[in-house]
Amino acid sequence: MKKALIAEDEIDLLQALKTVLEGEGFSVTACKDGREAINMMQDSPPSLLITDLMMPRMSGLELIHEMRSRNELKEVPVIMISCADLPDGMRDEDIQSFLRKPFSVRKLLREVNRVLEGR
Amino acid sequence: MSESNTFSDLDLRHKAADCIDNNLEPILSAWESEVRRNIPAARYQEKILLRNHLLPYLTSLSERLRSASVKSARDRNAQDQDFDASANEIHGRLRATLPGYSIEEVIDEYITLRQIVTDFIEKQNLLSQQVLEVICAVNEKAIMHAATQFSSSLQVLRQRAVSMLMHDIRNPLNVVSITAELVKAKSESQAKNMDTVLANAAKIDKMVTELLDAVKLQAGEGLELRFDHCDLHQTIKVATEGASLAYPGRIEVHFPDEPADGQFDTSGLARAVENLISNAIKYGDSEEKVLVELKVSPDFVTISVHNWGHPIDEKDQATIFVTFARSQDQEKNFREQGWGLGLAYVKAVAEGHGGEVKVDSSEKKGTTFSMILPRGLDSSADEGKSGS
Repeated sequence: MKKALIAEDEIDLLQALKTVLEGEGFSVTACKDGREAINMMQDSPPSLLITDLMMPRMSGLELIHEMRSRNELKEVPVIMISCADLPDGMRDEDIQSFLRKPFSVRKLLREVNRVLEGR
Repeated sequence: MSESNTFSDLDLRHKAADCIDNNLEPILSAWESEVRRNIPAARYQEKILLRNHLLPYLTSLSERLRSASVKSARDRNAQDQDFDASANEIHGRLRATLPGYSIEEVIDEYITLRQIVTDFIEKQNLLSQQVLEVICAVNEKAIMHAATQFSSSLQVLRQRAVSMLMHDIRNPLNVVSITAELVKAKSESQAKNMDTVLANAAKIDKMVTELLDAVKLQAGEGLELRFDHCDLHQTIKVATEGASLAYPGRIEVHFPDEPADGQFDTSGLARAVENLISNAIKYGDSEEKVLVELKVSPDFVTISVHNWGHPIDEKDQATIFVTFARSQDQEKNFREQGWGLGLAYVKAVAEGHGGEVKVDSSEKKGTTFSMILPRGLDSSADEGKSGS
């Protein structure tokens, strides 16, 4: 079963995204910030990470930099989601997709499939 | 006021300066009691926070009083007051971050300080006309610096607050739209209702994006434009689609036979054209068609949107592209006018492409907004910010 991890501090949105991905056959784990995401991923890297940009404790940007510095996590594909536009300084190789909120279910699933096919 | 003393004017000014230097703490204490009594916002502030940057004000005043030339001592534009200026500017800026302060209260604090200083000097019988003039000149300049900074800082804080709030709204908005899609997928009977929810969520998102753009434009930050080589036929088709569906038969589009390619930000231009069409429908004659036209020349493309109906007053044509500007007619009917952001956005997008936007409006010819954009085919237009 494909495993997805969602890092998002807005609980209702986290729950909605979880429902969408579970409906697509993913086994989904969820967390509220980048620090938790690192802890959850290090033993068992997911097939895909969906992360918010602005989160407490460790932001999405910090999370991605941390992941790319770790051998076991640097290949995990990332879809970044954010209320703001793509931040300056984000390199193309850092994330595989960026979705500005609000995005539709169709758009999310299209990006999930594209990112996973591109692996 | 001291007229009968035997000191020279310069002596008096020096002695007044001594009086200030020797009474810094009593002056500030008297001022503190007075503002705590009379200015509600000052009542519960900490002593340090309340007095910040007023000591440099007093020091600066005493230096001015000692100035050899009466003219430069009185001069409100003297160049030697940089420290005074920056201290007062910081004071104004910090007041903007304290709860409850209005611009009147910031000014009131300085006027109170002037009165207290004047009282101290008068009690020593040192208040000549010249001394009073210097006190007033320094006070007026301080007020000007502090009030200007207070006002611009408040504006920046408000813009930041609006910007943060608008960004944050996108989270619950996304919950609404995803949940509506999930319900729609599960329940056929609710599909129509959920489409209404989704359409309105999209409307809110559009308003949020427009407001965020307006805040950016007002702050002078310009728009982020991403340039690609593309043909505007497709961009115009996309931009007119929504309005053609909502107002069947009302939108007419004229395309040229040749390609209209160049270096453009298609999403910015599509939104600009949507704004122009939306205005043409809103303010134009509802019985007449709105004409969207794309024209090409070797170096430029022109996108124009024309409507018939009541023309835009000549005096309004000059200000119509300013953020939040509304014409006098529009002011009469708030509900019809929208945000007043659309045209400012159109102008920013046109200028971000190195082009311009023009309006031509009269009873005889109707109203035409034209965006004239360089195609940038031979130059290297790449990703950048608009210069607005």
